[in-house]
Amino acid sequence: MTAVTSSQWLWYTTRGTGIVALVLLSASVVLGVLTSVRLGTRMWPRFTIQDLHRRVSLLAMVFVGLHVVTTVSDAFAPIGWLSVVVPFTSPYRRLWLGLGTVAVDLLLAVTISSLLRQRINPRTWRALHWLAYASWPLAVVHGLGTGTDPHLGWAMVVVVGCVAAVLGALAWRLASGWPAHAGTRLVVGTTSVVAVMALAAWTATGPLRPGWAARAGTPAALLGSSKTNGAAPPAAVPSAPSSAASPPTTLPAPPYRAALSGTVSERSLSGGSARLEIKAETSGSLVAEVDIVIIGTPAASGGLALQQSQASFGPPGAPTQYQGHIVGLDGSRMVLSLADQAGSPLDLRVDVTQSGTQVGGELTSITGTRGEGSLGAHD
Amino acid sequence: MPIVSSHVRLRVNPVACDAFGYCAELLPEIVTRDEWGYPVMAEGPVPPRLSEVARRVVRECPRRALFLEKVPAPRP
Amino acid sequence: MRTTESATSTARRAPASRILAAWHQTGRADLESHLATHGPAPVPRRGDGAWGDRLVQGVDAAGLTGRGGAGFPTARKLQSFRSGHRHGLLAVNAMEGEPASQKDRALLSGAPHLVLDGAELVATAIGAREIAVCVADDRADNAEAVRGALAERAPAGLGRIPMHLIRPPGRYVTGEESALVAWLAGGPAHPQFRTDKAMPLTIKRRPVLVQSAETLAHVALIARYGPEWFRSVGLPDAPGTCLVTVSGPGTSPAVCEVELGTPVDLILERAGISVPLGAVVVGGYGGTWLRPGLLDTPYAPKPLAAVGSAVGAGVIAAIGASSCGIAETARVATYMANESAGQCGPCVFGLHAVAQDLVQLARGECDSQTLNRLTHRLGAVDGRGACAHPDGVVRFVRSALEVFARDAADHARRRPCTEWNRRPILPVSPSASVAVGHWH
Repeated sequence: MTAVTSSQWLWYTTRGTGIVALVLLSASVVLGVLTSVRLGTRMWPRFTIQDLHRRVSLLAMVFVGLHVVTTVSDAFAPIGWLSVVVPFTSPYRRLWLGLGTVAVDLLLAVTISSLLRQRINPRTWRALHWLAYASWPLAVVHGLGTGTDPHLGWAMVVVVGCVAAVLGALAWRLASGWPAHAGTRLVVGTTSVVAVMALAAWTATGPLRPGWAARAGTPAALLGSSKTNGAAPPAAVPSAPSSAASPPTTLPAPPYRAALSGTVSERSLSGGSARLEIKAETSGSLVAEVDIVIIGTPAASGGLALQQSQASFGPPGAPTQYQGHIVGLDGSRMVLSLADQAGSPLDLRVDVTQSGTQVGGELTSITGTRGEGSLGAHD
Repeated sequence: MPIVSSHVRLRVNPVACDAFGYCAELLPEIVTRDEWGYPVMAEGPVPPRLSEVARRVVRECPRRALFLEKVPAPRP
Repeated sequence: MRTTESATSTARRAPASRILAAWHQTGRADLESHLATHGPAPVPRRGDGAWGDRLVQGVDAAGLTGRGGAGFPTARKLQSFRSGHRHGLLAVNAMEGEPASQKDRALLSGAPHLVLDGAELVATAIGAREIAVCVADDRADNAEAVRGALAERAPAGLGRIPMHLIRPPGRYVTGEESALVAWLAGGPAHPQFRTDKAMPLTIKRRPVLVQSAETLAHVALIARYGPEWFRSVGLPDAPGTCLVTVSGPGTSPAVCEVELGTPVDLILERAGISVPLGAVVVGGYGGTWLRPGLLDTPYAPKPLAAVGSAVGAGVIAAIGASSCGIAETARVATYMANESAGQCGPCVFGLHAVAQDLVQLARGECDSQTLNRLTHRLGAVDGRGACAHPDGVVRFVRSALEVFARDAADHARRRPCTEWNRRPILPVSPSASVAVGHWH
């Protein structure tokens, strides 16, 4: 199994388990409300509804767990184990992912206290259980903010269904006369309706609009790849934040030959692989930025055995104008095969020398038939 | 958890009870509900064949309002 | 409020009337008249380790039982606190939750120093480090009396144990032992569910002994004059005297100190109530109705029990022959339903349902099933709360249905009560309409 395929599989699993977890969490909230309104029929006595609530909640936690594990294991996005429990520490869509982290923290508190229910003070248990009501909206917003599927029709239908189900259950509970004070009921009901409307408005102007990935905080190196957008947005260039002096958005015509200088960083990933990222700028007549990501396992002879790579190249105003990957790697020399949105190819040869976290080197464009200059197969 | 004494009575803490009614559903032989939904326990100890169910019922109560109380063995 | 002396007095050296002796002799209740009448309280000398035992033995020999309503032998209660050797709290219960009772008022305004002496003695005997004098927060006059008495004691050098006046909320059930302790612990004054009533009440493992003010006053007298003196009046199995609030139609309540065993009708007569009487409430609103034919029953635990009654909270309240017992009971039941702490379903819902049935009965607005339904509901409510409040109401209503059986049958046949709109005889305190949250 090649690295690229396994990474894709993890990415799909992350998205899939996320959606299933949201559905199960919503079902759990609905069932919880049904126990508090004391719903019971002959075929479904009250204690079975309660039992079902518990089982569905545990199942939801299993899927949340899978979702978390696949997210961290997937090398594509730089999300580490710390971000699972400490909110807002992930470089990938910091805010929206962080909300998911908060939801996980709350759900962990709810789950653990419920498993230990017989041993803890009933009032403590009840207070902690209320956190479940807080975790659900966080999960929904997290899903919409980090998800790459919102614009897919079926995903939206599922989310809308979950929200409708939970709202309906909440309305039932309010109608049954909880909380006892009528004023509080009015406040809760109004707040919920307003919150849902705000959610709908935000969804329409945020995640559903093109370019959300960049606005949400996806690291630049990952933008534009086929993974970030479920379906590539039509001819949209990922918008870079506009600056006062608008940076150039076009490159001069090739051939290119320029000096490079920049930084390199390396990070370990779970499973033994490592991620190397080189960010460099050209100087001289060519003003451009190049970003190269190498993922591989450390080789016995030093360096990395390449498993996966991404590369981008472009002017400061459109740094991902050309995207692609490494087709040849030999020591300090790399050959990049890139293309722009229109599909025009561009091959570059990059020689780098590293000293500490600094890199320097040279970037040259390659003309001629594809494959010339490649230095051997990679797998 | 084995209960050593063979005679226990199922009792309810009326302050904690919130009339969820799981006890009456699971153990109708011992628990019936009054007109307001609150549990009424039958007199006497729990029959041995129902002791397992009684323990479950104590565990299931959402307000932990039920408990098993040891009673002295009835005099012959 | 009027007070009367007891008829017989055979105590050696002790004044004829006991608790209210200083009041009767001097017309004052201050420390000077208290000391002039009774002398100083016999507090132990330092280092007298056996003193506590002697006090408890004296109380035991005197046969004193709790005057707060439960009638539990006081010596036994003290002994269970002494065995622990822990440093606890003594709570003086002067809450007077019973609307028809005025005896705590009489005690605090007529003999406060006896109560405080008793508190000091008992606290010393059980090793308590602090005394809390509990007066309901809606009884400003009682609080004033306690403050005045406390202010007199410190300059006179009395009292080694710190005494504080505290004001828990004034509701019917807040004077119940466990409710008082719950409030002292910082929560609402709600009665607590207890599986074993013999275990001492605690606040974070610090034991709390609750004693009614009248019991402590008796302890202060027993400590001075001895158990034989205490037993010189009353009955062999119910010795001594007790305070009773006696009221009747058209007269204001009077607090009398009666020897246990005095017939109820004699008590009423001495209190000046002699109009043709209907039935009489004995023991308070958790007690029972006594029919006119049984008014010669001696006022003591055993004789009253034999006719289905009890001493209870020291209340004898008569209604006139023309009053309607069902209407009075309906009003009392409504009040008692509103006074539920609201913790237990059967009490909250059951007492309201019972009260509603009684009101319908009194108004003659009932159907053929009302009496049956009421009887069934009384059985459903009895014993199913955390405290004895619903039990008391059930007892009261059951006795009403028995004593006023003919009226009940009349009403059930839809004959409305002409008395229903008349002014009620039995007092129902206005705190019943206080806001629901008044428990803290």
